[in-house]
Amino acid sequence: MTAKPFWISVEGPELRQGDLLPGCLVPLFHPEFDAGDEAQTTVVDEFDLIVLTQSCDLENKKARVVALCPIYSIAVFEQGNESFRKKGAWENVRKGRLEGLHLLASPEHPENNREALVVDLQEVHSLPIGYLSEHAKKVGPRWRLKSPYLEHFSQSFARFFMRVGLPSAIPPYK
Amino acid sequence: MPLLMPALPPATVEVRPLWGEDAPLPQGVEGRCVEARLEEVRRHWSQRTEPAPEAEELDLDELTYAPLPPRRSFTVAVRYVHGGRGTPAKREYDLDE
Repeated sequence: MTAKPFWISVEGPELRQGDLLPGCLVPLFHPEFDAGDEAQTTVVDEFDLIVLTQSCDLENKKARVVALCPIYSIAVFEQGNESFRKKGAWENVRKGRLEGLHLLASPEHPENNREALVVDLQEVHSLPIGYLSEHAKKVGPRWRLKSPYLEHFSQSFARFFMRVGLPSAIPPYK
Repeated sequence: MPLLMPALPPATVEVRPLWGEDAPLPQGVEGRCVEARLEEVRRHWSQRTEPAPEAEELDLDELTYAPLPPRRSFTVAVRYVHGGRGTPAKREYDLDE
């Protein structure tokens, strides 16, 4: 089966759902954070992030902050999660059996599954739209997820957050 | 174009069949002789190979993961100014009655 591209290349400050923004800065609040006259030390982390906020909300300026999730190469993900080196692990992710993770084909080599990218849906960051638009301009050409892969990704996020834990389950069939 | 990671080799490797496995053999004494030699080669190879270790059966419940650390982390000195209580964003109420 010929692998078709999941992504297109775009540039400029206009953001859309599915935009891959490398090198975003995420400031973290100190546990004793408080406003005041004195300077405080804040940790700032850097992540490659993908936009989750719906494109219509971004276009119509309804979003003051944009929801994003971190995105990694699977090689980097495996470095931090050794169990994913086991045979069959990524196939289970590809089939959607791990709700918190979503696989996307490599922008440059979609036919090579080892170059795929993985989104961690469990970690959601909110960043001001002004900062992200300026950052998008500075980044230059960036990847944007195409339809229908975009809708599939959005649905994956929705599925993750609409999970319901039941107090009692039907016993498994053996 | 930003490159997120270097290219890695493909996950699968093509396996070539043994010569003669899919080719029609000549009939007669010579054909039977070639077939016997091929069978000897196959037996020799299978005796030399070690049984592959059984792939660990993957239990989905064991496939948990932790969030990854950031690409980099640094500190900055900031002064936070209290901007007052957050106000609701403007939302258009557009409902046909």
